[in-house]
Amino acid sequence: MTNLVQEGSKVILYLGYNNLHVIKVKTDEVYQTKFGALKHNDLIGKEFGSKIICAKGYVHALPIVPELWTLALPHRTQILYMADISLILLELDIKPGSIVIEAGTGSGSLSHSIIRAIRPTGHLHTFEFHELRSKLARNEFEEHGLSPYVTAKHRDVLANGFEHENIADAVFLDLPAPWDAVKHVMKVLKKSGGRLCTFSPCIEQVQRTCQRLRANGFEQINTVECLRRVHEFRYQHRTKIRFTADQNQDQPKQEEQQQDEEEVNNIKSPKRESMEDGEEDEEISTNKKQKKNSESTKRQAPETVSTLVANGPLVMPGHTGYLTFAYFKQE
Amino acid sequence: MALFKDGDHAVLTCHDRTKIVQIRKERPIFIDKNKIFLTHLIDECDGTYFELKDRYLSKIKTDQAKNLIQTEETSSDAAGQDNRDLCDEGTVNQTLQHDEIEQMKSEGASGQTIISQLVSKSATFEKKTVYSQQKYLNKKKKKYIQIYQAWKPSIRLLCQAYTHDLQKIMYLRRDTLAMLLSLSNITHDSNVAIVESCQGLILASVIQRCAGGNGLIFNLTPAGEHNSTAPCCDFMDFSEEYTSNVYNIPIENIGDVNAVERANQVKPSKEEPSEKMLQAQARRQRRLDGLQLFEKTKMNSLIIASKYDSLSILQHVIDYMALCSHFVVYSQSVQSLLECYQYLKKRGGTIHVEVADSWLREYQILDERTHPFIRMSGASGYLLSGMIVES
Repeated sequence: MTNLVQEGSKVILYLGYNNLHVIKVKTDEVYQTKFGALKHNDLIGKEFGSKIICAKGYVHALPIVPELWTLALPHRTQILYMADISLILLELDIKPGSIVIEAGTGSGSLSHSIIRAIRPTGHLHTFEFHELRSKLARNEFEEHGLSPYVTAKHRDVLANGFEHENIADAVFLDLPAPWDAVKHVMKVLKKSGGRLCTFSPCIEQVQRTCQRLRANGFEQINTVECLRRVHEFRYQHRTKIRFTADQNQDQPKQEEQQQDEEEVNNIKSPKRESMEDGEEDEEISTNKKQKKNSESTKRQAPETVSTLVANGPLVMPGHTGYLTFAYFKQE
Repeated sequence: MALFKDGDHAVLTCHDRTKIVQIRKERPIFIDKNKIFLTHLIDECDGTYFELKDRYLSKIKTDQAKNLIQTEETSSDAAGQDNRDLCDEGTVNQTLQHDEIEQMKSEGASGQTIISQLVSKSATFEKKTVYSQQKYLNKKKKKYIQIYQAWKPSIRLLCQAYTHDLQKIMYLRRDTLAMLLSLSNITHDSNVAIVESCQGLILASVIQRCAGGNGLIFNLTPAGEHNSTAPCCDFMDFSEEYTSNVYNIPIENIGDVNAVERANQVKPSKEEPSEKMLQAQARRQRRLDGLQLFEKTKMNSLIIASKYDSLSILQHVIDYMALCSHFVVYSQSVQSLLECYQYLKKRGGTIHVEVADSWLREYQILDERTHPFIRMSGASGYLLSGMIVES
């Protein structure tokens, strides 16, 4: 695969963190971005990863990488995201050479990650019962140069099975009623054993699936849920309160203690003022003292501590679906 | 279909325990201080069941094994409705004594026999609810029935084996490892630089995903710790094809043009080199070759999961990264990743920089008894990830 953008290349334009757009490069076409017009001709011949300057800013031209594709792809269905995708690949032992069955194809989010993991010697057979969706996925695989590794078919697997027998190392099901596919799964998995994963949003679906799996001799059945939490970076500025109790106890040396806003040290509180007015009630800041204090505080900027922090997001994905894994071997 | 051979590694699972072993004819392994011979694993396949008989793990049929380990239905005619009349008087409820059990064991009684005895001599078993009876039986089975399953090693099983030894792999949880592999975009033909202190778990995962190929895998280890990443790679029994493009290089010397020169100036001794010395020389030469190759290679992926300071490592390796390459840094705590983030922002030339952790919850799915497990991991660690682009 070449490093240079060419006519017909699919490019992910990265405008910002949640701002990705997919384009197919065509000579003389123009794509309007919030930074201004982006001429496709400016992309041709450039290396992927290049910065393209536009009128009011810049974008980066990136290749189709599964994680970015998941964020940028046109949704035809609800898709799987990286947390679930990654765990599926690990738990199903998907690696180069693996033969994997997927139903349904959906929008091809998981498919792209599977293909990355199984090349060059493995193969993905993916089935979708919606004809147009199947076609769109097939086109995308073609455009992304992935056709050698995947066969995308329009097929109702619950009614008609997976077409092959005893070829698969792993099967992944994202179907409303995965328990009805169990008998087909048993037929398509390799005789020497293979693994299954079902993805279901509802716990009732999981219960029915697990019941059916147990009844049919599946082993190592386990169900998990995985959620990823992306932290948000901020500079947090914390101003220190001047406690009068601290000020009353210390000598007046405030002039020497001007602090930088950026400094991140533990600062000693200002030294106490001399007790010339000792007979005055110490609990109450007298006008004189208040004046002295406020004058000295005017001279000295309030102390601020700044640190880079990572905070949890206010809202995050709370549920995608339950992942159920199991092992099956014909006896 | 691959069968176990003499010398292969295998993963043995028994209830909740997972152990990595090496099969060597007539050389025993130890599980819970018991000497066990694995000879009969040879020529068997993945997923086979074994029972412990006279110190040897001997194959048993799957349905036989399943009957012994699973308690799906209790054919209990006698069961209670709730626990209102049950009192937990440990020593009184079970009338079978400890030394009686030990005697049965030494007489060679099967786990099934012992359990039957425990059930019949329990004062409360018949008063328990059906679910409680199942739970009780499962608990006893875990204790008294030693049925093992043998598996070919996989990254998933290695993660499982380390669950009780997480400190060795820097507490890297399997979902974090899984996401690390995705974020680094590792694939066949990738050039990868790895700096890890996880017993080679990450290196092994990368080797498996690259599967030979035209890319190069550089494993950067501090001097004197060349073998620190050996364990997991050994466990995976990789072929020559998979490891021929892996170079272990001393991380201290990267970017130091004089290091290779200095190494080459060492005069060869005049004595006839022994077998051991020849091997050591070959390894040394490989390291030098690796160092030189590293200088000429543009990395597609960088993975750091090191007990050493991540920021200084990142600073030294980042200029070897190609355009559109991916970097991932793992840390148990978020603070060191914030330092790296600050550095990256200042340096420029990166996008899609994220710091994330994750939440992993396991469920018990049983009829009328579905709920998450009582305990869960609270420590996923953190991943800092991003891509290198033109600045």
